Amino acid sequence: MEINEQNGRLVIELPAVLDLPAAAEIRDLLIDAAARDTAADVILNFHNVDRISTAAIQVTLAAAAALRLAARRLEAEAVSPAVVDAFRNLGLASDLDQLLDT
Amino acid sequence: MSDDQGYDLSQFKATYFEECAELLAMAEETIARLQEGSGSDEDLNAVFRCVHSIKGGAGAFAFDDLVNFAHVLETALDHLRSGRVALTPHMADLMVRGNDVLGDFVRAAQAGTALPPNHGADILAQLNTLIGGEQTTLKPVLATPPTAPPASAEAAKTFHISFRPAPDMLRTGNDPLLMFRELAGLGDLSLVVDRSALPQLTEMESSRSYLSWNATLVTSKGRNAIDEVFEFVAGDTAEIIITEGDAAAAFVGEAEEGEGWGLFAPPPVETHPVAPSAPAQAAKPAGTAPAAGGDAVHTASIRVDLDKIDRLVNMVGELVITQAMLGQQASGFTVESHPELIQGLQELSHHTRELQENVMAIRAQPVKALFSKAPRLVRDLSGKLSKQVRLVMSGENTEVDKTVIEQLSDPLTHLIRNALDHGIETPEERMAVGKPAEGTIHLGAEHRSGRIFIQIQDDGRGINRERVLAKALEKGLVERGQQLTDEQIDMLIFAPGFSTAAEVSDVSGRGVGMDVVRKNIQDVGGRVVVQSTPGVGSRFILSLPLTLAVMDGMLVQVGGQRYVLPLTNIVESLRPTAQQARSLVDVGEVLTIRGEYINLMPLHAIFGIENAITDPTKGLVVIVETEGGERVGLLVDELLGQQQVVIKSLDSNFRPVQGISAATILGDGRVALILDVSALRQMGALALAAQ
Amino acid sequence: MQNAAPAPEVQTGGTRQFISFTIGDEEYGVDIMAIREIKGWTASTELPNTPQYMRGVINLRGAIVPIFDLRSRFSGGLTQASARHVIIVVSVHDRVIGILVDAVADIITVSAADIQPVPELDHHDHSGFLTGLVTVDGRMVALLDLHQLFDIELVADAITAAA
Repeated sequence: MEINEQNGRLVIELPAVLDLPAAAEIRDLLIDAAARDTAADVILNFHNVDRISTAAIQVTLAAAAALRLAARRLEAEAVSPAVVDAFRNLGLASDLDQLLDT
Repeated sequence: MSDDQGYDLSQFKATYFEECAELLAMAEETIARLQEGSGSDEDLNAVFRCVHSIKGGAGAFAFDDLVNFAHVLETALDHLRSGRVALTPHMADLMVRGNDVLGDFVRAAQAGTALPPNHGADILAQLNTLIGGEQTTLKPVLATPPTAPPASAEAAKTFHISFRPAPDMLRTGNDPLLMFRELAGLGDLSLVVDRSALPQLTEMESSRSYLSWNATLVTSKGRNAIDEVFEFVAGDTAEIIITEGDAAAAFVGEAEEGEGWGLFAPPPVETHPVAPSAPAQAAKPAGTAPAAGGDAVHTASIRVDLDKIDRLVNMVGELVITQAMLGQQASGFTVESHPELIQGLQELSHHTRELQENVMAIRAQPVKALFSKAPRLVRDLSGKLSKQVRLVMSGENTEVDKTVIEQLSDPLTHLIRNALDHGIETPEERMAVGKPAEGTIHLGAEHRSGRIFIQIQDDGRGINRERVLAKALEKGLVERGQQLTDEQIDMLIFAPGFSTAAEVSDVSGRGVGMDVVRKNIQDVGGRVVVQSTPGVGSRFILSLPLTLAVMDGMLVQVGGQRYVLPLTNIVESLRPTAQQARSLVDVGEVLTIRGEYINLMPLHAIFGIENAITDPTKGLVVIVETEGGERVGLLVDELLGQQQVVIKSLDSNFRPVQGISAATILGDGRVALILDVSALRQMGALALAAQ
Repeated sequence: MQNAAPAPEVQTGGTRQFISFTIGDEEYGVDIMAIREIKGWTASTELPNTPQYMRGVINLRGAIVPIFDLRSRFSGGLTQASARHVIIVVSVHDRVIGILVDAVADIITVSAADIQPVPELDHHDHSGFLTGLVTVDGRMVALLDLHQLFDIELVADAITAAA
């Protein structure tokens, strides 16, 4: 996983399985992205994601809050049904909506 | 990034295996209770949960063999706890063995090795029979329309579930996601998420659980179905409250659990702490959300990586050294001239010691973990050997450093085996000599003078000294005509390669016996001695340091070198008179103290130290006692004072040096060597023999 | 520590860096990746019944580090250690050890192609401990194989100690 700058946005392509280790990695990438001295929004691209863990979802919630404080946004892109299901199963459908809302 | 969480999968695996070890031990202990008949239904559930948790984590890491076996064992346990199969002694035994095999799979997964393909096949077959046998008996029941729901579950009820995972839950491979998915499958689920515990991103530990939930579930499946969903995570749950709050109050008064509610009581509720370890939550009215803090049910312990504790131990060690150094620097000052400084230093010394003791206590664990294997071992072996043996244990709560415990497991097992195999006689032999048919093995632990003593005592036949001596002669361990005391003969069983078992038995092993035991014990700074009386029994005494990190020592000077003598070894010190010190042919220098003769060992000669005092009447003799109880006098130049020292290994960068157990760093930053009194005694004897 | 093992065959064609030091008139080089630090001589604590070249142990920030006298190891004759002498702290496998030398000479960068094999008829008995020779500004520098030098040492000693 890495952060790519694309058209003034910081894009992170997520792997197929967002398990515990992946959550740690995403967290670190998002900390990096949030710490960068830029106004760029951060995009999580979910198009590869088959499975997401609660740990990874927690990280996105915290990252969204962190970026919001800096008047930046965390956005989710290409969200698969598996991801939608996971957020919904945890009662976090509205949180996902916020990430999707452009 | 922070230390405590890399992306390293191995870290999660390490946590998992650590937990497996605990779970396996807990399962074993619990099954043992069941075997004794003192267990309860809850115990079966507990074993079931242990196995389930192991399976769950194994699935997460794709340890397929482990998963497969755990699954069968789990299913069997499920049959037992549901009462479909009776818990006979045979079944309990099968569970013990099943748990053992499960342990083998866990260890194989941990080591990354594969077990033989048929490993545990017999157990697996028996378990399968257990399950399969049940299935056939169930068939007629299943023949009735399977669609008929249980009578108790036809009406939909509303449940409120307040669920807060333990912070560590995610790490164990349990994901709330799966549970809520299951819950949603039971009926109509709505969730309110509490995000208030979410920390800032930078403070976040990605594998820690921060969310908690209040759920409302309308289901016709009944309470048990909900319990089952949470049952698997019981150990990982900080708080779970399931309340039945049916708005349609139709069941009030009828429901079994509604009994005893007064007029003013709100609708009947039942609180249900799933976590067996958590204190029972007081009943709360339905619909009342748990207090915001929600801390009523609190985890009383946390899991800490041993590395972190070791870092702490090391830092405290450095602090002790610094404190000693300050004390030394300030030794020229008096209370009169610098009252605050001296007082401050005294307080520093006091606090340092207290801090150190507390830090050490973190690593300490009761020896119970070690002893808990003994009952099984004794039971299994006595069966195998057709002997009747009663095991008595004492001092199980004596605490000792975790590393010591780990290192002690094998030696202790071996000594217990030895006691059973070679010590205790058969019932017939015992009765023939007027002993009770049932032999006794006593396993005890106690703290004494800064060390822990573990003893394994049996009332068997004792060491056969004639046979030991004959064997030692045959192996060339002793010379013909050499005069040995009984104690010396007994200690021969620890000589490398020595084994008196007339034939190799599968109980006591193949000659890799007592010498390995002794080596293992010495590796953790311990000693083992044996006391034996023919016909009455033998007693093995293991003496071990409480901690591997710190000890009280006496600093001594020999020539230009300083050494540390462990305080526990020191009996007294004296400057002998010319009458007291004699030189005898074949024995070397001998001291007469209060009518007792004590061998004198000149440290300068053993270590080849120059410029040391060689005349005992001009130097000092420190009388030391080895763990075996032998006394010798060490000739040194002078005593420099008593101090606490932090033990540092020599072999981490070099190798062991004979006569030296470890090193330490003194207040002036120089290294001093810590003397190994028992080894010195042997070296002294050898040096003498060589003359 | 992970860089302790020099792998010359992999690095053929590249350049390698060595710290060179002197013992008397001779100059030796040690792979810079193996070196942890260089410090002045401090008095050591002797270990009893060890070979002469084993100069005892020192306290290196809380770790007990053994010091080997390279002069003594090679040709006999103890180094008369003074404050001007130097301890080069290196890691060999998982161990941290110090080697006592006269002085640090240079940091040298040599291309792998310039490293000459050690001639068989080398009169020293330690040719097995050298991985090669290089010429730097007209000086011959013998490159040391620390693993050969100390690993064998530690293992052999450990065996005799255990016996």
